Amino acid sequence: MKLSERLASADRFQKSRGFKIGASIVVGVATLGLVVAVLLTGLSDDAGGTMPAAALPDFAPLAEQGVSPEQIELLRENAASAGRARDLLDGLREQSGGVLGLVLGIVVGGAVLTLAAWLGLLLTFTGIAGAVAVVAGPLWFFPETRDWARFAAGLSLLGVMFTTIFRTLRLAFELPGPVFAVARNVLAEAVRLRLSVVFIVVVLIGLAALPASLDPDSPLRYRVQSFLQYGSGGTFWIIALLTVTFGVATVSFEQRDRVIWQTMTKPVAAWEYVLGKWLGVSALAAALLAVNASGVFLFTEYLRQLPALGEREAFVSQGEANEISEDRLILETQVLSARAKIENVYEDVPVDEIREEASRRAAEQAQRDPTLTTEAAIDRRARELAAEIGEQLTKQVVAFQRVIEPGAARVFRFPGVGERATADGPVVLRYRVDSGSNAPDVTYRMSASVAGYPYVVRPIALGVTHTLPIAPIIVTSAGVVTLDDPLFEELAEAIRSGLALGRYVTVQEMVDDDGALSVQLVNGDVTMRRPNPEFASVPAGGMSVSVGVGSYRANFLRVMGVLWLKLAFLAMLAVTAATFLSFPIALMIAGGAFLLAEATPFIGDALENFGTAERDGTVILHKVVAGQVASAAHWVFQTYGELRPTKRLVTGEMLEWSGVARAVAVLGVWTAVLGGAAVVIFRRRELATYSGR
Amino acid sequence: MSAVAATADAGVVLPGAKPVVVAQGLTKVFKDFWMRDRVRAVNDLSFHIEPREIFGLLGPNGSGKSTTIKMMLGLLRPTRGRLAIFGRAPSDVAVKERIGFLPEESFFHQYLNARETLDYYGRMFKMHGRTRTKRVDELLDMVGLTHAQFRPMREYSKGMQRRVGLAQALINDPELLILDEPTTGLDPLGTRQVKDLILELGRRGKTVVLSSHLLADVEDVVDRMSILYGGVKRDEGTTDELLTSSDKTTIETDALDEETIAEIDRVIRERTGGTKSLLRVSHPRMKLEQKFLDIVERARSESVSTSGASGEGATASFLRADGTADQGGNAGDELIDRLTRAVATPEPAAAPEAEASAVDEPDVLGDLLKSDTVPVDTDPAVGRGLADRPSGGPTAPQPAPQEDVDMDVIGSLLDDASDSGDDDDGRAGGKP
Repeated sequence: MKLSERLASADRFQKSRGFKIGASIVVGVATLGLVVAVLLTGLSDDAGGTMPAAALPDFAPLAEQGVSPEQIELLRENAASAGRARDLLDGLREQSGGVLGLVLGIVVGGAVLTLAAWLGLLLTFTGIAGAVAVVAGPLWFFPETRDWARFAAGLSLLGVMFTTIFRTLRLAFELPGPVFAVARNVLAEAVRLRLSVVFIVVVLIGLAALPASLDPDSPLRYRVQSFLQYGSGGTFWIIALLTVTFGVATVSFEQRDRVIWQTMTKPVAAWEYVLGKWLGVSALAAALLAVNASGVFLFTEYLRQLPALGEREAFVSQGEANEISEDRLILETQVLSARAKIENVYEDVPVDEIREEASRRAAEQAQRDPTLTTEAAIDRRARELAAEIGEQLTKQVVAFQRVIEPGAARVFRFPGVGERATADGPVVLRYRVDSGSNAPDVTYRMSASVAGYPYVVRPIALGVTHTLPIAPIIVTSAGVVTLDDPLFEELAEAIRSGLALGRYVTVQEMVDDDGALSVQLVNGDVTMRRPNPEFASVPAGGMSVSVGVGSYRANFLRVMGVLWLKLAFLAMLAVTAATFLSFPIALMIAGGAFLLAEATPFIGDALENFGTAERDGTVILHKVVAGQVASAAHWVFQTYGELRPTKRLVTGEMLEWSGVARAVAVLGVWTAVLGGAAVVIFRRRELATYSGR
Repeated sequence: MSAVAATADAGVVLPGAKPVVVAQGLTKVFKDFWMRDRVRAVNDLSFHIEPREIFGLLGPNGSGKSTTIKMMLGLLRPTRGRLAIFGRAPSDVAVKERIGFLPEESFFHQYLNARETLDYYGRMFKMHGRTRTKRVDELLDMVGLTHAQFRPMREYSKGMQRRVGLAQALINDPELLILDEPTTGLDPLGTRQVKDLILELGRRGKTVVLSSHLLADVEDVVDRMSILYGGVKRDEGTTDELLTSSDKTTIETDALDEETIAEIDRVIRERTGGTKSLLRVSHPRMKLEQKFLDIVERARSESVSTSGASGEGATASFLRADGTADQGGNAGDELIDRLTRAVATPEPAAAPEAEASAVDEPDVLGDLLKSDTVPVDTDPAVGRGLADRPSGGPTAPQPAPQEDVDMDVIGSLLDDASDSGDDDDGRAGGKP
């Protein structure tokens, strides 16, 4: 029997009902067995590996040494409080999910294999896995070729995932009716049209090759961030371009090639055609996004299990105290997290005083102007100048609140921290300081005091965002020990055991009655009494505290959901454009709208400083037009642009459910409006043309 | 004109049945970018098409045939006038449930294969999986593409794509079949098959509209036709109304010697007092189409293989009168058949040419000499002289396809004919 005949025979076998049932049973039993084994192993590890929380020492005998009851009570409180540090640190070390995460992974894997069996693909996938093992296995043993092995394994895994999801979608579109027929056909077109196949291959190969581009010597948090940035952000752009291009192509090519004549002379309503096309393109985008999300998620979890900077193995420090390394701490609390970002509020701008001062100065300047001869002209000029001066003064006042003189201090207030932070959750200050030209070889020493506790002094590079864990802290007579200090855990344990004196302070003890947290920043080293040489300033948005408010995994799912919403919107945009425009024009319009939507945040920033008049008040017409167009675009795509799901994922910021709901509402409405427009256009259009000459 | 009167000699219609297509004052003006009139493709066109009628739209290129058809399908909107299909607007989705359409060129998703293409269009009609699969199988067999069904459409020849086009037009067993230049791109075998299929569908009670500039194709199959030129209707009527030339007579016999011919000429002159005579005497030629079909048939009998369309398939059962029960809804067709039989007025069947050729010469001459007028065959070309006669012209004997093309389609036609009592719809007997 020839090889092709053998393969055909195997294919028939894997598609037989008997095989599907048998394979499902085998996979089910194997999954169940693995789950039970993991649970049993995990429970026994917990039973043997976790020490019961040690009882607090008895401080009563101290009374015999002359310690007052109040002091004994304080010691007891401090010991109890410091005992909570262990829970916090253990929690950080178990971010990887532990037993439950493993069980969930096994169940999902079993479900995927069962699905593959019922799609008639299980033997195919098994064959691919075998082939990859044969090819990639030997490569893995040599460090020089390990990246190739990883690439081959990753590419085949992504390919298998794409095939499974794609076939599942096609199966779902077996439902009767023109909508699903059109959608199903779009999927068939996607994997046979060269235009879309190129994009699909680029996504799969790019994602599989991405791990090889990570610098193994860089801190783990940077590697994870780079991977998330390019894995989710970069790939989203490719999928978005595919969505726009393919969405336009599938509709416009059908009209160009007159295939639409055949379709629309069948009982297909315009809305069914448009909906079917959108459904197909959105499903393709969803399939690619799901593959991308799975790949990014799995590889991120893999990266997380690698040793961070300062660790000899994952979650195990190089130090004897097994402290949390800075790299690991930032990774777990700032990157693979779902934290709320709370920016400081500046003092209210004294509007009335500024207006008064501006009027006074404007009147003086107008009076001095020799070209103004009449009172009316002087008044008019004074009013114009007052507006300009008022604006400048406001900017100066705001800027002043961000500036710290050498050796001086400025207090930054963060409202709402008390409401959002959990009792023991870490709170991190993110800050950036600019000075002069931000020379890269200059280091400033900045001192920070939180809620009046002793200063923490850090050397910092200028123009770069830094992090400082400001809660919880341990306050001793020698100063403040922060969470990223190697001594933190050891000191907490010593306090809990009554061997050291100190106070474990959580964020809830730091906030004021309004729940606001105040941080005083000094432009210099207070311990050395040495000011920095020049003024320091905090740029807009350069000062915030981040509070853990959710899990990274749930945040990841929300981010992917919002990314799909954006893609679904783009799909409708492309379909709508192609209903009445030829391919190049429709692509230009839809692609331009996509770029405009992605650039909305930058447009918003630019509009703040966009002037439409010369210094002498002469209006510049083309700038007015450009400003109006940019304002309209900003208004249309504001929600789209402000979502920034990828940025949130990379920076570990929480994408709130309210944000998701807003995205669903706004993008949903826009998608529906575009769809409605497409239907109207399609119904009014004459699909045929004059064929005579 | 009443529905019955309109098709008195064309087919059988139900009394009082509403026309399938009604066009009144139909006008289509194409505009340029500045909305100025560019082309008046159709101008004040009125016609109607009755149920069970095979209607032809004839005219040279640019005469407005395709534009008219596109308006009937809702692909273009009339500038003026009224157009109704089954009493509804052409753009009505419900109308499209009952229509099959073959465009003038093959427009398909080139990445699909023939089976996927037919399956796709079957899904448009909300057909259930099993029915769809069965119909696709039958249609592929009918158009002779079963062996090539998994090849992408882009690899198909133009003729093969036309066959797929025909199959997709029939997937829903349409009540109204609209065929725009149906034989374009087809080889003579495919052309013959299409013509036979049209006739069979007509017998099944389907209404067929076809446009063509290949006049011979149209003449073979249509009941009634409208001739367009410059977007305007120039003439309309049944084939006989338009084509019969009553001032000429054509006689066809076995080969005659010169003396006999001279004798006949003499008799004619005697009888008419010298005012009439034999105008043309020639030996009939076989049509090239028939010669081609003979060659193909011989090659098949010798099992010569081909990668193209085989053209062997039987008409899909759901399209045939003897079709097995199909979820496509043959009950309605059967009802129409019963009603048709009840109201049909059998026409005197025209003498089959095969029979005519089999009649002994002396008897023919005797009959000729006895009767004043014997309308055996009428040819407008008679009298134009040999130099003017088109090759394979109407004076050539029309070979009986039943004898030369051994196809299941024809078999089923014969079966149906014998079942229903020799052309009870009066249509097949008048056609080759």
